[in-house]
Amino acid sequence: MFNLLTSGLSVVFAPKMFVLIIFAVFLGTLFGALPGVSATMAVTLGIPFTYKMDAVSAIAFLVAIYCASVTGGGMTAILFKIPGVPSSAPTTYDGYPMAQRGEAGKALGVQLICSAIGGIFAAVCMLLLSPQLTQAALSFGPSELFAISFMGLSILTSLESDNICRTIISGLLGLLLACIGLDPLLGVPRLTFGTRFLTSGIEMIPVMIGFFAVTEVLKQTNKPAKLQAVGGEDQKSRMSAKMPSLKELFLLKWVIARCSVLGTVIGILPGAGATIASFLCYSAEQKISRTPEKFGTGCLEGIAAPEAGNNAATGGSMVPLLSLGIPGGNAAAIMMSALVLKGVTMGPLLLVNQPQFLSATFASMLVSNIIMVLAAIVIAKIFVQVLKIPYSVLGPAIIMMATIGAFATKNTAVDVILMAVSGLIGFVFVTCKFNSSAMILGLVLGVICESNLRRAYTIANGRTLMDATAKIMTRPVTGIVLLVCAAVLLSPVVKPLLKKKQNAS
Amino acid sequence: MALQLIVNLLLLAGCIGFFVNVSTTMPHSPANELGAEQWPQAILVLLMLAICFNLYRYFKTNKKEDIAAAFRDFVPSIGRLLKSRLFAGMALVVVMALMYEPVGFLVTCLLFLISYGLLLGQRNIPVLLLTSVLITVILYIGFSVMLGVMLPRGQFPPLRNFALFIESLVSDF
Repeated sequence: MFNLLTSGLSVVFAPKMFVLIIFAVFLGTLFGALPGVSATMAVTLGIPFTYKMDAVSAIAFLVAIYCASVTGGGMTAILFKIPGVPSSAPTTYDGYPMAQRGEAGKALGVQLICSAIGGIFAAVCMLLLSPQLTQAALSFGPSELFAISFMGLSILTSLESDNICRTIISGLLGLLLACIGLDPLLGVPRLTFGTRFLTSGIEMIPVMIGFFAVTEVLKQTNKPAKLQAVGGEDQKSRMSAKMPSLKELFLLKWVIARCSVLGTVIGILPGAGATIASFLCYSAEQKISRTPEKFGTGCLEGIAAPEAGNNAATGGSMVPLLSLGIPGGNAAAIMMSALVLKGVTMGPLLLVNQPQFLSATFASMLVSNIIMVLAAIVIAKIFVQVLKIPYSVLGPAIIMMATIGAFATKNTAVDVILMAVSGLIGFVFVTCKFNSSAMILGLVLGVICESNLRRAYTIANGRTLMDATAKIMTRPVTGIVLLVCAAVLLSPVVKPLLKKKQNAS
Repeated sequence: MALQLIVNLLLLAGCIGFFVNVSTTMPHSPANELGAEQWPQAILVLLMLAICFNLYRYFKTNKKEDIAAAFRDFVPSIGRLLKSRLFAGMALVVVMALMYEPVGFLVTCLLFLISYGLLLGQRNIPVLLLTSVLITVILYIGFSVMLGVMLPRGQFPPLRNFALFIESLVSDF
């Protein structure tokens, strides 16, 4: 183990490689912060830099970009309500209200430090437990994956506890939108109404950008008051780049610990990834919090949970890639193709024959997560200054950035129109007190939930649907997780009723 | 208040339409399999139930007179919306989205930044023009040149030639 560790560190601390890792961290943070440049795209953009590197250095470089891009996505989520990557969407719930209060610096500080801790934790787990964790993950079938993604959906009833019905409607609308397009298993067109452009389904990123960024700018446009950045009239004096204190960070220790563990586990599961991890961590923390009502209003726990979770998932997703040659997500698949280009044979024998891949990946994650905090603090301080720009300049620029992001997804104008329409619908949603976050949650998790559930039914091969359901529910992990989901979903409804009954008696 | 009721009723009507579409156009799956049509059907049933409950709550919490007053004010409120800055903002966003590909990034971005800036109350025209040009250049160089993100050049020959001319300037530089 010690040899493994030293060989990894020697790769990363070689002067040329160390400079390249610092460069990769800056590049990744910047890519992640730009809307429309996903973590996968960031890794893809990093590939040309690896052409002249050896395979071990290449994986170390790409891993640094990957980790930093997931962190960078949270920065624009906090400052402009534009999640740079889908896994940063829950960060907007508490990050943006904090930025509006003039506490952008504190929010960014918590985001960066929690991301780094989550990433480092996952890296250590990867080094110590790679083979064991992979075996455990492979015993998870579609029914367990459905139960886990459904757990992410169980956040629905607690997103707005005094507006449960409309939040559920919003979530169900998101799930319905995810059904549009070709059916994920049979390839049959569904709810496309014979149109060609609906066949590929509703693209998640333009909708998300529209609902969050365009709606927000429209809301600011509607304000009759003088517009000065996001926070209000005396914005200039209140906007602070002050970082969180050690005491504040210490208070988050258990949140970070729980979400790092949860994120790592979710990251290892093939097909799950950072997006589910961040939603699930946010939901879990809100459920166990003593002050759940603070979530969504700008509390530090609401930033710490998704950010520790999504960064831990990046480490987790490297476990099946290195141990078995199975990419845990899209970014891991790109890294795998980069290694294959270099003639590396991926598979279970990789770590036996060439353990330096695991050690270099670990060392790169460790070092890049530490450098990332320093790099991102510099970038964050620049971004905080951006908020001081008058809104008459910043607002339209945000919409143009969002437009580029939407177009970049598939290079089609349909996605730009989709973004604009989503922005308008998002505004009607807000006016009618529906919940945009719930809708996005449904849209993100809809396809994953459906495809896993249907695969589970096919594998169960029951005589009837009821028989298959019974077979699925009796699988221990699935049954327990779904029971927890039911309790989580029903608790905001049942709790007030019980309280009412208690008061009456 | 009137908008809430209208949106809920539209959603309900949409759900019924979607349910009919799924039930009539999708192939029926075997009895032991969860088919392509059953997942959306289940979501639509839950959605219709939730909307009905929301409508029930709406009528329970709002007085009849208030609802009637809201509907009397609905048409005048549409008139107010059409004259508002918000509506102009919405229209600008939609127009920008529609002209993005045919007109191209450079011209669309410049025009949008200027018009939305004016809408948001920026009256210092030289500053507005300068910042708009600057942001367009920064976005173009940042995304197209540095990141290689594809930005539309426009479909009309003069606009396309203009974009190609700018690109050649950048590449020469």
